[in-house]
Amino acid sequence: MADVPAAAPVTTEWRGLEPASLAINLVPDLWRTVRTGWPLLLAILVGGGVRGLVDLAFFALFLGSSLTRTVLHFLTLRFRLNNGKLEIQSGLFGRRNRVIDPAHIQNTELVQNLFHRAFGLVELRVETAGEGGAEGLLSALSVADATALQAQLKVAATRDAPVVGDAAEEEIEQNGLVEVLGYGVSVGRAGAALIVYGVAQEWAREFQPAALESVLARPGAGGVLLAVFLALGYVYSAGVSVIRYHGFKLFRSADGLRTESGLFTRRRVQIPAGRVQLVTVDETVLRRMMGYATVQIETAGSNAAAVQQGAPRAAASEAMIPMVPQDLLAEAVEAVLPGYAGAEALPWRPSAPLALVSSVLRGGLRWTLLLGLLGHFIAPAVGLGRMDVLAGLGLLFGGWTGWRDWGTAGWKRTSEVLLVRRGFLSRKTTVIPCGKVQSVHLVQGPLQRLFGVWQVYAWVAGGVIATPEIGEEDARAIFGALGG
Amino acid sequence: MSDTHWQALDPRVTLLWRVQGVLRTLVGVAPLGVGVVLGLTFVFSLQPALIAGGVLLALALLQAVTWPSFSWRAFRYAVRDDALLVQQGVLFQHTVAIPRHRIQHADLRQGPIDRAWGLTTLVVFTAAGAGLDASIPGLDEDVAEALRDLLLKDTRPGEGGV
Repeated sequence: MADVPAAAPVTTEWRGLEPASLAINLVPDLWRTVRTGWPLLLAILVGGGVRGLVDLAFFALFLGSSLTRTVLHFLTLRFRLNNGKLEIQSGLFGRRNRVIDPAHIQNTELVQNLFHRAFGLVELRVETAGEGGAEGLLSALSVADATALQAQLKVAATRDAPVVGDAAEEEIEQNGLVEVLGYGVSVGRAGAALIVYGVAQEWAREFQPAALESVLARPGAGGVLLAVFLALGYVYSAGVSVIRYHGFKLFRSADGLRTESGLFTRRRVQIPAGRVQLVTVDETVLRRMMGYATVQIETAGSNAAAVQQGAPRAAASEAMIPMVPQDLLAEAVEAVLPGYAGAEALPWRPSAPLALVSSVLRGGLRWTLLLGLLGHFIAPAVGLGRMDVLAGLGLLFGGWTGWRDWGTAGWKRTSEVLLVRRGFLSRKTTVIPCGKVQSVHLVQGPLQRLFGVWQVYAWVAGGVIATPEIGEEDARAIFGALGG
Repeated sequence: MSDTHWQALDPRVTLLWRVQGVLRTLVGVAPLGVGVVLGLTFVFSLQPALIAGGVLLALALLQAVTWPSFSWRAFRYAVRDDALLVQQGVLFQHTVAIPRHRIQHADLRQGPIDRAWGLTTLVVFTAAGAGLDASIPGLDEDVAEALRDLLLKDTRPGEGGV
């Protein structure tokens, strides 16, 4: 691990994609075209199938536009390193030339789907702190070329600093099949399963009323049906988890972190050292009962925008450790975000006492609505009759969880990191490095003014952290420390 | 924040906000008022429906005319050596601090009414994303330009980039 002199900026020849990119890119492009033009395709199919030349012309148009784009993409995309910067140009009529400074790269990702594997190729994605999507996307390179380019970018990124040679990798975490299945089950798809169940029942009531009647006439059939849907929801979730996280491994080196996972599409995400902006430790009830937690890692890539647009944080995370045993959690988070271990030893600072009122009100309202709707609409649908009493139970249960949520919520800060913990049933701990804060917001609404409590929001390039409702002195201390 | 030298907005901005508020009310609330009147005529006679609609419109206009004074009083900003601070909000108080080395770029924006009064809005961006940072409305054009130049002059990338 000796320091070696920084490399001189590299300039390489222009290069293109591998010819097999024609086959690799055609199917995804065709799929994108179908997704865009699905109403037209549906109209053709539902309207009596393919009828003569007109309908065939539409199909030819869909296929032809995809084929043209794929061929043009292959013919026009060129890339090179120009004075150490990645330059990508593409397009025939609308030329586009993009230069990416490796110093601004947040992470690079090597992706191999089934088509890539068949041709022994890989897709290289390069993300900077831009607004959305991969800034640099080279869809079909040989594995050797992609790895070499990734290494060159890494060297170029550190050209102004001494390059650390011999960056040996150390595997610091891996998940077996059981853990990946456990992650899938613990994600929790009960809500989605209930919605699918409701829609399916409405569909059957409309189109197959007799069959539905005969099924629901059997005692307990509604409950069994609901249980089947719930079970299917968990099976689906576990299946998705295996496809995405099979063979998960996390490596650490002096250059940063690297993850590897995926059953069919193999993803290798590289996060340069010092680029982690936000880490979330997600402990759902089931996951905690299994003795595990999930660690989500954000850099300044496109994902803040994706989360703002409604994408689930887990799906939008740059990298994630699906399951970390509770006893190794501190060590794992420290490996991802140095400075965490120092805060781990500190006690949690609690929410303000008066924040208990709003926490109990929020919990009560949430669970009254949830159980009230369940008792009023779902219970009769499964043959249990209307159970409006559930709304009252929801109020009690919600009040209790609100009280426990208030007790769980807390924050702590060192000179290096700010941590916030929330949620009694489903617990989330968020950590940001103080040195990465982009802006800090001190907020007080009218009700909070009544109770004399404040909230602090600290934005980093990969997301936001919000403290629980805390007293003015604490809030101003955090605001002052992060805001200058 | 004791060494912070807070600045108020140009008082002309209250007039700008009033005009914008009245226009918003006439465009946004008036059609709603017409809808309410039409709806109420199915329940009551035309006269009480018109009174209800009129009261609704009058309240909205009153709010549009009076609120800017409160907003102006609550709005202030400060440029420190290390950060830009913006404080605003009558009901919801909101103070934002942006470390100066985190400012990525700044925009000066003028709508047609702003131009008529010679006022400008300064919008500051960080790498956290558009719309999440800070904007200072109602600045005199020269003040806005000077403030933008000042904020961008000494910005330097923080350690380790973003």
